[in-house]
This record gives sequence, C-alpha cells and structure tokens, in this order.
Amino acid sequence: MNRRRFLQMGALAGASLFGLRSREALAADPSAYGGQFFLQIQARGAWDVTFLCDGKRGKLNASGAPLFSAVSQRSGYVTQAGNDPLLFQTNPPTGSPLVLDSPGRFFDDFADRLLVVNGLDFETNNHSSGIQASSCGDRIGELPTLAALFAGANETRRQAPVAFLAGGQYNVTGDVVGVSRVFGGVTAAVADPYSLGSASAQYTKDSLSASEVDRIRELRRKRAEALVGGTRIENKERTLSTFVSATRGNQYVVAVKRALDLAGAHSESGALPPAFVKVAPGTFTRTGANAVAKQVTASVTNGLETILQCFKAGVAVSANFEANQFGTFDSHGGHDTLQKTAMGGLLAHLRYLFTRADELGISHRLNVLVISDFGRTPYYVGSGGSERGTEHWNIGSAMLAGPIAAARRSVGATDDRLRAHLVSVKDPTKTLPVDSTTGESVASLAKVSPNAAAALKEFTHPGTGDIYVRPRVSHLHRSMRKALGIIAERPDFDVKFRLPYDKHDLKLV
Amino acid sequence: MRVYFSTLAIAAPLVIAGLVAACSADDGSADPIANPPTQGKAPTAGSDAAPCASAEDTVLAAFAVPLQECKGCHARGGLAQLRGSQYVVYDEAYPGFLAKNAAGLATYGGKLEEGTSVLLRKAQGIGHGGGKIFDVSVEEERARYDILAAAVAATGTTKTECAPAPQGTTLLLDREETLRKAAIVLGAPFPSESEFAAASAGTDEQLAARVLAFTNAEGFYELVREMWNDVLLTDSAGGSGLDPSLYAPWKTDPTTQKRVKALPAEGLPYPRMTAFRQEPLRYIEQVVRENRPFSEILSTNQVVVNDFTATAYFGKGLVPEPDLNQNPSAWMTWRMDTRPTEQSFRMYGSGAERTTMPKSAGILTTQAFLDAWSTTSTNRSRNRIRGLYDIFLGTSIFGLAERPIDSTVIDPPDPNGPDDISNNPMQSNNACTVCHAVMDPLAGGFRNHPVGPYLPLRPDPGTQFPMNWATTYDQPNEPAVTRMLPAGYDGVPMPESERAVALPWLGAKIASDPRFPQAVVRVFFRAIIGRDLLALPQPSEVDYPAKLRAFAQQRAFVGSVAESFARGGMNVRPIVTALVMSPYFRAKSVSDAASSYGFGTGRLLTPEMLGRKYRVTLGRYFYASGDPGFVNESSFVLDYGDFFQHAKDGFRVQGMKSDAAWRLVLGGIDSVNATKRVDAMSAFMLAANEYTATLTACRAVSAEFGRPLEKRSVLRDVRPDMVPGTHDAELKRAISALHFRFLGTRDAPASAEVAETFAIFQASYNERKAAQDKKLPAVCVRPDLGTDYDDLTTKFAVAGNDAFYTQGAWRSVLTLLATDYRFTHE
Repeated sequence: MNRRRFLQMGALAGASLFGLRSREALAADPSAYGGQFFLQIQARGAWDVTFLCDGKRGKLNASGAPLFSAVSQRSGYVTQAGNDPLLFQTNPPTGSPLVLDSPGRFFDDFADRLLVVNGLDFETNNHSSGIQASSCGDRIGELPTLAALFAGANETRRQAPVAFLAGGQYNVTGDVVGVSRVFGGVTAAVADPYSLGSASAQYTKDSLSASEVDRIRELRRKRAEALVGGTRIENKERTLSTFVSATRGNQYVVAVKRALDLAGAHSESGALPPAFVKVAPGTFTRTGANAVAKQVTASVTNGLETILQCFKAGVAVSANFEANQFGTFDSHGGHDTLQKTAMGGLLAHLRYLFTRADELGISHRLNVLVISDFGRTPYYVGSGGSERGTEHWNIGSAMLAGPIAAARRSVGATDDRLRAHLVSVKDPTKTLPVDSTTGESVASLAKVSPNAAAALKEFTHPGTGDIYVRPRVSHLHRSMRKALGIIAERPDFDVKFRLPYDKHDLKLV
Repeated sequence: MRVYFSTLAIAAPLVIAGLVAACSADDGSADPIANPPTQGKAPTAGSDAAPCASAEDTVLAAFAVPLQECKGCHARGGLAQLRGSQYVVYDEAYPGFLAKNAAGLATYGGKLEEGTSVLLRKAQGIGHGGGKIFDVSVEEERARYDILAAAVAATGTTKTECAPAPQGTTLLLDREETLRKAAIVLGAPFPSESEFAAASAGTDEQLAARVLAFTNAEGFYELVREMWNDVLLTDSAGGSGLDPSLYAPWKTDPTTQKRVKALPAEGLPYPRMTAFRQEPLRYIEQVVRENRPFSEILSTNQVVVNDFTATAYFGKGLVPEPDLNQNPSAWMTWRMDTRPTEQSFRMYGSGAERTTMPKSAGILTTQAFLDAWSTTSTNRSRNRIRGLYDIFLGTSIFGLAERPIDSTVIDPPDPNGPDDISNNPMQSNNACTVCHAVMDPLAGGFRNHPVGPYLPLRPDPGTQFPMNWATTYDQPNEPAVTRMLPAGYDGVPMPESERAVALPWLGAKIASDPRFPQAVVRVFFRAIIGRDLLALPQPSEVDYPAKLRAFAQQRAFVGSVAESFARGGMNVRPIVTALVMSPYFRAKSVSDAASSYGFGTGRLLTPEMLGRKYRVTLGRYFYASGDPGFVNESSFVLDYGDFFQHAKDGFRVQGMKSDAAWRLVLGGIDSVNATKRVDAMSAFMLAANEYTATLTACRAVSAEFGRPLEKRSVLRDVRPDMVPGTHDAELKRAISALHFRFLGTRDAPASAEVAETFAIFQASYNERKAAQDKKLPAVCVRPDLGTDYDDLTTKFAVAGNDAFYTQGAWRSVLTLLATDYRFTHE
C-alpha cells in the first residue's frame, strides 16, 4: 500500500473513529461488521477419508475383516451403511471407550450444510508441504493462507482488531493482514491495555487517562505515517505499512475483551447446544462423573467458542484452527484405533461448531473448510494385525460448509485404489475414472495402459472434446478465492499470490 | 518439463549486464570478518566502460534457474551419481556455487556432439537418464547455445576485470547508531555516553572490536539459544516425550533429592523437565562461551550438563555431593563435561540395572533433539535428515525434487511380491529415489536410534539394541522391500567399523561438509539481520533483475563470511561482527528501493529481544503473572539473586506457561505448533505492546524517582519537581536523550520531534494538576525497590503520591516511546 492510499484510509477512519473519545464507544463499532466469516479446520496428520466421506466397498480393516457392512450413498455421501459399525470413539487408558460419533450419524445430521470434494490431489506426501498446500493452495511457494487472504480482502472495508485469528502450523499472511493469536489470560490484559487490568480492585486504577491514551495513539500513528517512504528500504516499508494498519485497528481491541468474556463464561458453564446433545446423549457433559466425557466437552468448547464469539462480535473475520486435541491422524501404526479416535474428536468439534453457530445466529455467514495434510494409502503396512498402519497418500478430500457451499453435494471421486478420477472443466460434477472395467475411462478412451492413464493429469475426451483434469488443491483454493469474494474484492491478491495450475478453473465450490 | 530459456534467452544478456557490477564490488579475496564492508556509503556506480560478464555472472543470469531442475538428480551423492554420472550441480548452499557450476558447464557444456553441446543434448533427452528436460524451438536452442558458449568462454574470467554498473547509494547508520542498535539486538548493556563518544570519534575497526565485546554479554548467550531453537525447535513447552527412565535416578538418587528439597517451590519446574529440554541449546551456548570450534556441536564425544542432568549421564558417585549452603543457582550452572560417556553408566531404580551409554555426538545424541525430531518405524529417521539438511547444510530436501509427488502411479510394495529391490519403490522408482538417494544414506546415521526420543543405548554384552534395528538396518538380513540404502555420506559408504557409533560418524561428516559453515552463518544472519537469506528469484517475479542481483550479492557476502569462519577455527563471534558491520544490518536508507532486497532494516523485534530492550531502556523487564502486574520480580528472585539469570526472555514469569502465552501473542514460537516467528505487527500485537509498555513504564518511573540521580538509567538529570513552565529546558534535554535511547534518533532538544513529545508530557501534567490527581496506581509502586531515595520529596512521591503530577506525565512519555514503531522495530 502506498503512503497516499493509507493516509486517505486513515483520514476516512479518523472521521468516524478517531473522533470518538470513549473506549467503550469505540468498542461498539466493530459489531457493525455484517459480512461473511471464514474458518479453516485442519485435521492435522493426514486423515483416512475412506473412514468418513470417501468410503469404499469391500475395504478391510487392519486385521483383514470388512470395515463396513456395506457402502451406500448415505445422505448424499459415499460412506458406510447399516448400523454404524464404524464408531468413532475415544480410547482412554482405563475404562470403556466413549463413543463420540459415526460417519452415518454425522452425515444424517449435517448433510444439508456440507459439500464434499473427493479425489483431491495435494501433490505431496510430506506433512509440512501438505499443511502448506491445504492452507494456501501451493506446496512450494509460501502463499498467504486462505484465511489471511479473506481477512485481508475484508480489511479494506473494515478494521477488525483481530481480523485473522491464527492457529495451527501455517499462518503465512503475505502482509495482507496482521496475525492475532488470542489466549485467554493474556488477552484479558491486552484487550484493555491501559487499565493494567486485574480482577482485583486493588489494581483497577488506570495507569493513563482516556485522554492521555488518545494523545499517545494519535502521535504514534502520525509519526509512523510520517516515516512511510522515508528510507525506501523494502523491508522497512513493509513492516511500517503493517504497523500503520495496526495503529488504526488496535483501539478496537477492547471490543475483543467482551467477546472473550462471553466465550469464557459460556465455556465455563459447560452448556452445549440442545441440537448437539440430542445427537449423542450422555456422551458430552461438564458435570457428570465420566472424566473422559468432561475432558472431551471442555476440549470441544474451549477453542471454538472463542472464535465464534469473536465472529459474532465482529472483531474477527477469519480463523485457522487445528482439531488434533484427540490424538493424531498420523497413523503409521495402530491405524484403525488412531483414526477412530481422531475422527471422533474432529466430528465432535464440527458438531459443536455447527450447532453453536446456529445458536449464535451466524451460521448463514460462516464458511468452513475442513481439510487435512493429504490422504492415506489404501493399503496397510507393517505387521501385527490391528497394529498395522498406513502411509501417506497424495490423494485426499475436503469438506465445506456455509453460504458458499452447495449443500448435500459431492464433487470429484476416486476408485477403489484411491486414485483420483479426472473432473470435467466444463462441468465439475462429471468425472472420468483413469481405469475402469466398465464404461468410459481414460485408459479405454486413450487406449493406454492403466498406469499410463493414471499418470495423466489432463485429458481431452476424444468424443466430446471436453477437457478433464485432475482436481488439485490449488484448484480448490482458486475456486474458494472466487466464491469467498476475495478475487472480486482484491484482484491484485490473485495476481500477486498466483496459484499454480491456473490454466483451467474448476468450479468445485 | 519446464520452459525456462524462452524468456531467459532474451533476458539473460540484459540481466548479465546489470549483474556484473553487483558482483564486481567483491573480488572474492576480501575477508569480510577481517575487513567488513563498512563504508559510510555503499559503492556508487558509475563507469563508462562496457560491462563484461564473468563466468559466475553468466551462470547466474542464464543458468541458475534451469540448473534448479538439474540439481534434483545431479546433487552431490544424488540419484545421478548413484547411476554413474560424473556431472554435479551445486546449489546456493555451497559457497562459491556459481564458480563451481561454471566449471561444470565448461567441462560438459564445451563438449560437442553433432555440433551441439553435450549438456544441451542431455537436456533435450538425448542419452539422458532423466529424459527430456527442456522443450524449445530451434531459435531458442541456438540462443541457449550462444549463452552456454559465452559461459564456457568466460570461465576463468575474474570479476575484477568487469566494470561496475549503477546500483544507487546506500546510507549506513553512523558508528554511534550502529553501536546502539548492536547493543539492543545482541542483548548487550546499553552503551554509556563515553562509549558513544568513543565510537563517534573512533574508527570502524574500533567499532567492530566493541561489537565483538558485546558477544560476551549474557543477553547474547540468550540470543544464541533463541536463534538455534528457532531452527532446532527443541525447547518445546511440554517435553512429555522425553524418556521417563531418565527421571528415575532423580527419584532415588540421594544427592539429587537433597538438591530438589533445597530448592524453593518456584524453582522446581526448572531442574526437572526444562533441564533436559534445554540441553541442546545449552550445549551450543557452552561451545560459544568457551570459544570452541562450532563443529563440536555435532561431532564431539562430550556432554553439557548441570548437576541435575549429570545424574543421567554419570550416575552415582560421579556427580558431586551438593553443598546445601551454596546458592542453588550453582547447581543449575551448565558446564562441558569431557568424560567419555560411553565409559560411564547410569543407574536404574535400585541400581540393579546397568546400562552403558553410547558415544556422544554433540547435540544429536541429546534427548531433546531426538524427541523434537522423532521418527517412526517406517519414516526411519528421514524426518531427522530433512531437518539436519535444512539446518546444518542449508539445503531443502524438498527443493531437490520440486516435481509433484504422485503416489498413485507408484506401485506400492507388494507384501506377496518378490523380496528384491524391484519391490522397493524408494530404490527402484526414480520419482522416489531422486530424494531418497540423498536422504536415506544419511538416515543410516541414526541406525541405532530407531524411534522416538529414546536416549541411545549401547548394549551391555548379551543385550540387543531397542527394536533390534541396528543388527538388521541396511543389512542383507533385512527384507529388500523395506531395506534402506546403505548408510553413508555424499556417496561414500559408512565404514563397517563405524556402525556401532554411526551418529558421531554422521555428525562429523556434516560438520566437515563445505555447506556447514554457510548454514551456520545463515542462522546468525536470520537472528541478527532479522530476515532469512534471499532465495533464488524466479524470472516471473516482479523486479527480477534487481532481485537476482541482490541474491548474488548476498550469497557472495555470506559465502565469504562462511569461508572466513571456517578458516578461523569456527569461532562464531567474528560472524556477529561481520554481520553487524555490513549494510544488511546498517543500511539506513537507499536511493533506489530495488537495491535494498535482503536488508534487515525495520525488522520487528522478537518478543525476547523486546524484553531485553525494555531492560536496557526502561531499566527492567516486563513481568506478568496470573495476577497481571503485581506478582512479579518475586521474593524468590530477590532472595536468590541471579538464580534466573539465564531466563529465556524478558517475559519469563513464575510459570513458563504464562511466559509462553506472551511470546505467542507477540509473534514468537512455541516450538511445536507455532514454529515460525511473525515478522510484522498486527493490531492485537500492538495492543499487547501497549500493555507491556504501560506497565513497565509505570514501574520504571516510580523506581527511577526512588533512586539517586547517579544510580538512574532512564530518567537521568530530572527530578519529580521539575515541571513545565519552569524547567522546560531540562525536560526537553531529558526527552532528547530518551529519543536516542528508545528510538535511535538524534533529535535536538529544540527539535520539532522533541517538542511533540514534550507536548505529551505537558498535556498530562496540566490535566493531572487541574484534576488534583496525585494518586499512583498501586501496581506501579514498588516498596521493595527504589528505597534508596535521594531526598524526602522523592521518597514521598514514591511512597504512593504523585506530589508534583509529573510521574503520570513521564508515564505518558515513556509509554509513547516504548510503543513507537522505532522501538518495536530496529
């Protein structure tokens, strides 16, 4: 941003905001934000999507027994059918396992708000690269995470003090927005920094008066703005620009306190949305005797409640969140046990997110991307029956919810060897398997071996002329950039932070 | 397959011309440590002579990017070498990589077959194991050949023969400003007025000597630990992965128990988990403290211990009995212990179990390293090698093969298939082997450390290694489908005699690799300059020629610092001097923004640096606790003096948890989830700075006015009864001094900047006086500090009453300065 531009923005902000004297009055302002939110939830460690949204007929578990009794198009998604033989549960050191959810129950309850993307190529099987690719769409270039881009695009209209709530491992911003890491105890002090706040009445006296604070902030901002362009040193101009932006937003941080107070009080109460409890009665509790249940409940509520309250208050626009509180998805050994536990924890978080967002009245504005580092091999490795594990697999899935996601729909597909079908550029709901004994496939149409067909990332149908491509995670991100309005709001972002494979757009979302 | 040359063939001559002088300033013979580039103004270009291209310039401009495609297979010890090729491509991790690649191009590019360079024929897939790399037209091929011919012809051309090209002017910090910034960044005490005067009147060589002296400050050793934790990530908060058996001796060892019982409650967390967690960082610190060759951190058979961790290594009878009358801080003191660990033993429980220890390999055999870089039974330490490659060899394994990985076209190992290499994709499929050929032999160095963080155990006679790995690892009795490539380094197999001590062998190999010195310099560069080294830019990037020039300049500088470091016995202190005296640290402004790529000016201070800056500017750290603001600088610290002198940063409190939270809010790392520092300010971070600045300023004012003038460090030469109207001159002089201390700017007392700050003071004073507001926030008043009053008036003020309304006014001023951009950034 050049100096002229942000001086103009500062002037605009000053007319409506800097003139206010009361910090309480300032605090009320961010709630005017009426736009959409974006939350990315990372299932860190690489989930096995055949356990959730890309189930396979005939799949055997680690011990060689059938994993599912059958597979059906349940609730619009390919997952297991029958009486929920695949139960996601905790695995406490002592006592009985605690059933958290099952794919059947989950999709029965939430299919109306979910879009599933299967057969997504992450092009890597390394965790670091996979987390990066799933967060920004590029496994090599460190582009800003989608949440940061969304917050940055909205920040041109709105000074949300904690616009982008960072979480998880990948939070690159490209300087389009600042990073906010919010923690309960510290945040209470930071939210009202000049009060030297404390619960104790002995220390409640402000160090500085409101007018002193206003004078300090005004001179600080003025001095920072005056420095812009003064050295022409690229790094200094970059950090100076973000500092100036911070001086405009930091006076609303006090509004964060209210959101956090609400989040803290709600988490402490242990109250769960009725719709949440109804699904798994007795499983989640803050007051019962089951220690595991209490722990699960606390884990589910604590992190997400803060994010939801910040959204509700209008002080945050986007967030990254990692749902790995129930153990890792990285199941190189003991695959089935680890996946069931981690998946149960993930779905418990999603249940809470969806039902609590309903309660708070923000579901219609809340977009959610649930994604993992990549997928896992369709075969087991190692020895030892149930101790067998799986390896990394570059094909995986993603789930979306919210106003941008066409509900009860899935795009993309995989075969039984978890190889990605190619997807029509013209109509992404149409897929073409790479190899199939029945019907059309790349191998049959191109008259090549199955292996050669599997290696193709792009294929033109000889009959229709339609172009089919393998859906990559970069396609998903570009589609989401469009759907979230990032490109419309800030077309420069799409140029500066260019995604790979943008020759063809796939409208996955 | 990529098409690089279609643009490069056109752009390369222009880029070469622009590059020439960028590189020509350094003739390759200068020693940046002995003679750092310290000119007040960087060389201004200008020559009418026609630019000429050295071999390095030509390689950089025309081949640096396409060679990235080749290096995957043609890296040293890589797939191509495994398949018998002699052609090696060097990446920027090698000092002098351009010259090395120029030589390679001259050797292989100069050979012709059917009128075309052999190298270009290979790139087109003719007789090339890697198939076709480039797909271009005849015209483009001709252009490429011309460039290649030019490179071959230029081989041997030295840069000094080429004329400089324009690159603008760089204004550097003067010696006083450099001294100030160096003290703050390096964690040294704030220089005195006489030191500043000496710097101003002295020479750059004298300044460099002073900077070198800063590396003896305790704050510098904190910085050393921080910078290495940024890459090693061993100082994680949990430490739960550490081998519990290590703690068994503590439960039963009587000498340990005596120490534990003698410690106050607040001190207990420190010796328990933190000690082992900090072991690698303390190891590095100790090597730096004792001016030992830095290569020892990977290769030396000695350990760094304190009296608590020593029990794990040396057991009963080999650790001194504690002197309970002694200050417990002595037990925490880390030291290098050169007793061979493999001849010692540790005791389990009652002592019935006895296990000899392995030969050590610097930090590599520490619990914390093996925990932070844990592996699995199928990963087989490859993750560790990826880390070591990046940290100590400056090379990204991922960068070797930037092609997408597609597991779906790779036949997985068939459990019912043949037990031979064809069923092992890591060795039979080039898509896998391109990385694994480089990575897997090194992973053999961890052959005795199979999974998790376990301390490596050398078996007593008759026992076996954990999981029985070492007896099968890369041996014929290991199934071929999972067999690793033989342990080795750079294509050289590990000798049979070294297998039992594989990790020390690997550590020594890494430490003697030509990439190691530059990788070490890179870590110091990131910490002191505040930015990572520039990556090779891509032709599609905006400002590509300038970025390429900056990349070349920086690599030349870093490479020469690394060579001096290696020649000088691997003492790291001179690296610091070279970096501080360089334009990367000292650049104040440039005439051409494009010439500033890679400069660190304006870096956001880390939370730890900020904490130290509070100390040197406001006279104290910021402390927080569960009850923000008051329970700090606790009696424990006071009672035990320097017990916590090795505190990680200025935000440490009684519980590390709160400390960690503060660091995260201010952009730091927790070494587990947050592993990259935030390098730009957000509104929330600024608010956190407001809180810490307000609180610290509040206390600083009370404490300063509680001391006699000669003992003050912040509000020198002013008394609480100096008020606007009657003491304007004194107040403005004090503010002027504060501007330099806090902001690094030389603003005269009569300047507009000082007048602005004075206005803040005056407004607060007037407001408080009008309101008759003499109260002080209780949190700011420290009755246990500042009791050395110089007069009764001051004592009255400090005791809880702002009698002259000036404490509040000074609080405003100090808070303003401590939240200014120039305070939080340097």
